[in-house]
Amino acid sequence: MNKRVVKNIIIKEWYLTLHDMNSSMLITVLPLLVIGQMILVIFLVFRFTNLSEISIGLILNSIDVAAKTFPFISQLPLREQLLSLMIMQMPLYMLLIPVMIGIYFATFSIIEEKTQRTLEPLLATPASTEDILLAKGLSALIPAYAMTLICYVITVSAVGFIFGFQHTRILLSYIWLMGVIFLSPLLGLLAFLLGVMTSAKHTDVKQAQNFSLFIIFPIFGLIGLQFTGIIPLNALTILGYIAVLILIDYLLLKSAVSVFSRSKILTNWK
Amino acid sequence: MFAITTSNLTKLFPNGRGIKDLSIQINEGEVVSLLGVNGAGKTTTVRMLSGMILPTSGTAEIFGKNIVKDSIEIHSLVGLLTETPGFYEKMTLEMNLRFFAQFYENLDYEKQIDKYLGIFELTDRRKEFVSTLSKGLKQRLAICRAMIHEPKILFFDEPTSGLDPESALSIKKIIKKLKEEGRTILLCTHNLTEADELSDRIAIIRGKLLEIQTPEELKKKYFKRILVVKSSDANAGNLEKVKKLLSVDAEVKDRCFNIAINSESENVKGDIVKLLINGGIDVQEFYEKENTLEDAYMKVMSEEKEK
Repeated sequence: MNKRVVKNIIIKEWYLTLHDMNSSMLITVLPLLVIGQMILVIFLVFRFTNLSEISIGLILNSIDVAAKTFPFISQLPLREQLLSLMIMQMPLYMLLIPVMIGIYFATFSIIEEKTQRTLEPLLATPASTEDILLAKGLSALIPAYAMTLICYVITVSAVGFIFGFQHTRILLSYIWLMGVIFLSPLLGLLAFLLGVMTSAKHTDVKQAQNFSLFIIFPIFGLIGLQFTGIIPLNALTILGYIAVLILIDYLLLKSAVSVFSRSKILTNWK
Repeated sequence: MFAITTSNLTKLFPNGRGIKDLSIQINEGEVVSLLGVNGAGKTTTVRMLSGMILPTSGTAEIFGKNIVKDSIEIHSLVGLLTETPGFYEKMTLEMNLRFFAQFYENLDYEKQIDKYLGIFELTDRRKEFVSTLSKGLKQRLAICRAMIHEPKILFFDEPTSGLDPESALSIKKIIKKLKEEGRTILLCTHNLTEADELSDRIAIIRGKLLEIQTPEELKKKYFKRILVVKSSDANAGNLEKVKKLLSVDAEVKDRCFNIAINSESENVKGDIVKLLINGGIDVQEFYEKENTLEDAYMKVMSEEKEK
């Protein structure tokens, strides 16, 4: 790795991102809106839902599953139990943040290079394609990871102040700490690599970003499965997610490195 | 040592296009034009020689460095002006140059930026965004970028393509100046006048090398000398008479006889005119048609098509 080359590209990527209104809003404001909306929904459900109107049987089953990981939940009143169940899903929503930022950076950065015709002059420099890919990856992953951690801290604080600090025990449990610390960079990398590969075939940022749905839908699927108690939330589940993501990231990295070669970019890319 | 040596250099794409068996040597300080139609293989050749795409077969060396094994070193030896000079439009001129210059080791890039912005008269605009520049100025900036690391060879891919006449002229002046400085330049173009004006030698390619000569040699080899005789008798009826008188090929065009000259001698023009006058043909004016590279180029191309 040539540090000078990597640093040079990262600085350029960040400069261009910060000087583009859409990009800077997506990285700074949108994650805050995601968690703000999530907290608001939980607040409204907690405050205004009539427990008799919801399917108690399903909820009770989910609460039983959740209580196996967090035993303190079983001692709370039913309304508080429902609240805990919803708070348990918050970190999964937070994992959408590295996905959004990762895929946006990859597609914006590469497709902008293609449309502005800067890729060929960049490839004419002595920078290796591995260094270029690494730099672009880091320029996406660093803000993606930082924003996830910032949103995590904000979420924990907001939950504490709004719903009471006993509920932060779920968010601060080693299970979710492990999830946020390890799953978010792995998901960010997955999104970035998928972004690189789809950018090779597209000349439009939006077209390429549509592929992010391949990552976002499974995350929503997991939220649903976890909420209904079908997949229990525990350390083993998180370790399983981490292992699967490492494997997928490894395979995607190999493909992305192969796609991101000088010859292929100049002859095969659209 | 040659600046560029290629031996049976070939790059073929799945669609059958590319360049086949290119073998040329280019001396240091020489300006060589690759002349050919779109899709003839000019850009492919430049991309191979600048170590950006791998050849299918054959070898090439830039100052003794192999384009495959030493590709990263080759990037420092060559400066590339791409067909479309892409820049980061939301960055200033100097930021763009700084970004590209920082990839080269042991380069005082601030000094180089000052030097080349000065040479190409862009110093006053260094703090402006690239998006504010005209196409001609962007092309000048692109040449700055290609030269910022003092490369030993410059590859210019269609440097005046799409420019207005004034900008094209200013780019040609820059290339002439670089030629006078003794830079080695490989120029890709389909502009015949540009190739004629700027090159020491011209390589005509169309998927393979068809010819490589100096512009003068090319014209001499492929251009027939034509004597244009303005005459009130220039009509189809008198054409056969003229052909018989001179025993050469001739045609009538724009009230003139265009007569093929089959001799290198300068005196032959006078002899032809004497024969015409003696044969009763009115001669008002005569001159030899100037050789153009366009004729030579079209001849090479038509010969290739006939094959």
